[in-house]
Amino acid sequence: MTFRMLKAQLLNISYDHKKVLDDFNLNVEKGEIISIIGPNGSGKSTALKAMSRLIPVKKEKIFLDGRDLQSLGTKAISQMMSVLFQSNEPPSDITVEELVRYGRIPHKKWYERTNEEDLSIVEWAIEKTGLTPLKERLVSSLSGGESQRAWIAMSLAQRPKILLLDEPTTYLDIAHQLQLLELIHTVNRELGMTIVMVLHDLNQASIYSDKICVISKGIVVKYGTSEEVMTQEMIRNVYGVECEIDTHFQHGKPRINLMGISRVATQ
Amino acid sequence: MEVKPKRRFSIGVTFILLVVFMILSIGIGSVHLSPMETIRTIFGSGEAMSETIVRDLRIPRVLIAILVGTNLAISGALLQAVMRNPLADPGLTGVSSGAAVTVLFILLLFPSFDQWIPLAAVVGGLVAVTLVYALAWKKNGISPVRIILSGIAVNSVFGGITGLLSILYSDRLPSAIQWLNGSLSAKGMGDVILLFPYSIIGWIAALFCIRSANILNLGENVAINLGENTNRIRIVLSLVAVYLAAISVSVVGLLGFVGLIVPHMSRFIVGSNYRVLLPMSMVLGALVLLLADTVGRSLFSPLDIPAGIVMAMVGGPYFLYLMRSGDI
Repeated sequence: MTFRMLKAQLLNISYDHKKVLDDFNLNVEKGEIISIIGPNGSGKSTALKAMSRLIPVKKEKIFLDGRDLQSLGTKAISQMMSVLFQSNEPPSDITVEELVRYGRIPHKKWYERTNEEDLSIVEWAIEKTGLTPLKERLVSSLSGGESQRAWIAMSLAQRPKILLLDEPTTYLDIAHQLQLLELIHTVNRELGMTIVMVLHDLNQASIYSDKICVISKGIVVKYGTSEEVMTQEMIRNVYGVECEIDTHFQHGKPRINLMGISRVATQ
Repeated sequence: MEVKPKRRFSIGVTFILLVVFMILSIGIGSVHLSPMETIRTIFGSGEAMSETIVRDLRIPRVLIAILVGTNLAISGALLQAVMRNPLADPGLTGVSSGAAVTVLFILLLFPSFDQWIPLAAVVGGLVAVTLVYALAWKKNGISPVRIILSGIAVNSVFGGITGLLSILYSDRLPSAIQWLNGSLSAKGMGDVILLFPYSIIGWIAALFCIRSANILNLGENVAINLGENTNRIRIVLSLVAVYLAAISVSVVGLLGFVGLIVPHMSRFIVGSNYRVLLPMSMVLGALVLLLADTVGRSLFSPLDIPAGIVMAMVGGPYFLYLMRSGDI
């Protein structure tokens, strides 16, 4: 039996008696890029939070690299998995390099200090994210795209096997969105880092993912490659939007052209 | 994380200021001594009478101000990290009023058990802060606004109990009045000797909290992502904060604003990294309370205005200034 990088089994999560996730399953193979898509309130972020132990699960099983997440200590998890959410509020006077250095915390005992190896990993992470010229700058003074890259640099410094990202491109302009997705793509291809991200843009999900997981009302309605998932029918049923789908001339992946709101309400 | 030399420098300067004000403060009073005379008297070559005053009255009082100022400032700085809320301090979180109730209880009802006062204060502070946390708790955590609201509720109840005790036992109150107002008067070397070891233990514990405080500063999700057990960190930091505030309350009573304002001023001077923020808060807390007490006892001399009253009168406007300048 081969171990998957991340396996979530039958997650059921409720807020105030309202079911947010209903028997949510996800199997992520090593080295894949997985996008989770779905309308607002469909449970995408909740799924990401549950899989990264930010919200507690009870009976449900989540396996990280073949090991039960609940039996692993939070520190052991942080050495294998990194998770980044939107709208972080770092202290206003922290520099890029200081922030990235925190990424080494999972690998340190409380009395251990930063050593040469940590410093070279921090430098590598800063370089990988193209932030070398900005490393002395305050994170609070960076643009949205730059600060998002700084956080990713912190995650890279963690040297995780899997990186979970919640809407990494939200609030960014299109150039920075593409730059960030390219960065994620590079990290995945060069380091073999498994990526699971929540995305809003269907075309970005189609182009950059190996597999796409579509959630609607807490239920996984489709899971597969872009070609399998991105259909007129799925988009009509899940989003209530009409579209035409052709093939992107450059990537060869499905391209979604939105037409308008479906006349037949599906909700 | 490296600490910029400039920041170390500010801590050094504050420390030198503290030493200077110690000497000045020891010299100020009904028997006035010049700084040179003060130093000579401290080292045992002054006049006999001034030596008695300096040794028995002024030095203990200055030392108490330094210990208590340091303790309250650390307590505030840690609570602000725990709640990621600039308004958190021993006063708001109910620690002070909870400690005050148990201390007053012993002072008025069981005066012969006064050696238990520090322990009683810690228990009272813990009860209060646990209540505030429990009331503020909602599903996935504690929101800053709920902390403030439950703090107000818990404080008003404990304030009510304090008032009730004062009325029920008004015949025995005079001994407790100075204490209730946060006064440092009539403190002897005995109080210093009582408070000093407790404080040192708290300071050492606080130094071990620096790393955790910095990680909490990054936010809940980031702290968990970095493999920290945030609930456990919060409890440990709160315990240290409650302990330091409660032992201080047990000696000097209700002394507000030090724990609120000093960490703010320190953050303004040295930034938010607890590796410098905590030492700066310690030194600055000592300095601020020493100043408040010295002003209080010399401004309307021979009247002795409790440092708590001076802090409240200066602290309130300063707090408004912070609010206006957008730091809060």
